[in-house]
Amino acid sequence: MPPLDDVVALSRLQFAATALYHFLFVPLTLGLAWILVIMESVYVMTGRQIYKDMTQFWGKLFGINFAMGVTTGITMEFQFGTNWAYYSHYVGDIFGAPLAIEGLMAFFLESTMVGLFFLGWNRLSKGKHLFVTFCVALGSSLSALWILIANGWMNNPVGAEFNFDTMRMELVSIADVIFNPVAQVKFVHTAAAGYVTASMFVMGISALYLLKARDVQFALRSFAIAAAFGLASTLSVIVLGDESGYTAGEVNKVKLAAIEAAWETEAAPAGLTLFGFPDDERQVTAYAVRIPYVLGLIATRSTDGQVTGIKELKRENEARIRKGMTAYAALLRLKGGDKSPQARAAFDALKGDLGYGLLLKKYTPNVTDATEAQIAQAAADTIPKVAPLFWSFRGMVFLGFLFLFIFGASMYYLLRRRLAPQRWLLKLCVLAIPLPWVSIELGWIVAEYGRQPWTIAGVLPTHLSVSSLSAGSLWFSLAGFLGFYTLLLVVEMGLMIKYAKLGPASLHTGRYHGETALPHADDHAAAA
Amino acid sequence: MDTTAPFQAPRRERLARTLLVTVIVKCLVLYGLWSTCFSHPQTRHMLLPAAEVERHLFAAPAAPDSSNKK
Repeated sequence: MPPLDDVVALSRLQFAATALYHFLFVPLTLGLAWILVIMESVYVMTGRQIYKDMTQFWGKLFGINFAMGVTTGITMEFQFGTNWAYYSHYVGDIFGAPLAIEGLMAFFLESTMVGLFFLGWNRLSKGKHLFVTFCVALGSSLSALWILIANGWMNNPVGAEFNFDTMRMELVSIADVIFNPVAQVKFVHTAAAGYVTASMFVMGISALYLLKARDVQFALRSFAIAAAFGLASTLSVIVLGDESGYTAGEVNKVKLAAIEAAWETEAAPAGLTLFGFPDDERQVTAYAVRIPYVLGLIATRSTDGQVTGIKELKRENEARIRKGMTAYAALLRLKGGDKSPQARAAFDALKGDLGYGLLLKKYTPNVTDATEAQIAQAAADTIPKVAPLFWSFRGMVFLGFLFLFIFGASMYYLLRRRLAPQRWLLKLCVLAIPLPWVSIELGWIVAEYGRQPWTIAGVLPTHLSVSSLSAGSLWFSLAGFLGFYTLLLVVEMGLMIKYAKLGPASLHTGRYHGETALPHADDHAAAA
Repeated sequence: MDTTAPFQAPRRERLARTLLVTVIVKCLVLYGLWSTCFSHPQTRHMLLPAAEVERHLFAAPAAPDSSNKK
């Protein structure tokens, strides 16, 4: 709980709360759209009615989630200008293009195609409708891509340079921003996590029907598609998570060291701490269970690459803070009117460390005269708290492997045509429905909390990014957002539960559970 | 498959109407939040006067941040 009047903490809390709520809606949209593409493709290829019914029923649940989720991300853009004015100014030149393209993708491609998906069943040919469904899936994924490019840039600000005239970062290479390795890895990892979420959602609800022995053919086919898609997606998430670890090892060394509670720089290749109790105060991990070599191999892809430990990183950052003090002095000289080539050269030589100098603003208005104690405090700030990152990361990874087991076991029994008797597995599928959301939110905590104390890594400290607001106004808008999102979530849950209970009978085809007393009605639907 | 369920034609759902009403209400609430709390942002088009940023970075100390204290 932040102090009641801490504007920085309140601004962070508000952004975190809205982002975490927003991301309850996003992954299901991302993944379910592609599952609809698969189901409808099978319908177009085979002409069997049951696959059209599947596309329409799961499409209905997709529509509920889409309607609840659309525009929930705009609240974060509200906050940019109002709560994060200095951050907004710093990133404005970089984020303009990605956010504008995202807006076009979201509203003109995705939303238009979603409308056509629902209204086009009787107006478009099978092939054209499938193309529309494909565009829905593509649009939602591309929309996520541009947001994650912006987010990736915050973690690895490439393709931009600080301009002392405008006092902001300015775009140098849009290609570097788009092909930023952090952004690319983040996109594929996040998208694949969305696919896992949707797969578990479809599998869990289908498992519920199988447990109740209703709409069996419909549920089995839905379950099979979701299990196969989910297994492939989970393997992708794990592989891409490993790639993410490698990227972090290259550009987010502090985050990696904090996630792994790597206090000391070990001889290569470093061991991975599987379990333990990290202690931020004493900088040790109690009862650590370690696997030799694994961290070094993941983070450096070599047997001789070192993973730098937290204590050494802190020393390196302290050196950068000292350089940042000189950069700050050089900037003051430039802003004081000395635009001589010498003054420019002095600033250019050190401007990469300016952000580290700005960390001292939290402790002194006169950065250039900071005391040793203040420098040490600022250096300590460059390391985020280890325990929350350590546990969030392990929670996420544990759930990832649990999903792998569930999807793997499901495929195994499906292929052996012995799924229905495995009631334990079907119950596990139902219970696991919310777990991908938990895993994804933990992943976002790792990604965003791990970037602290920066909003733009190495460039702009969080405490200098916020606007000049009163705590009262932040509390008011925070309460408004929480009320708004909670209401949306309640409506979404209510509608989802209602339509999941109705099942394919909600399509009113007369072929499903509760619609007809005809025996084997579901089998007729399957044969159609 | 439930072969024992009695014939029961479910009433026509009005999902589209529910979703439309929800989206409209959502937009109204968002507009209300924006006009109450966010309609006067400190930055316009993600841009501040350079002089204001200079004042922020060079003059006054930043707001204290207790959220990342060790």
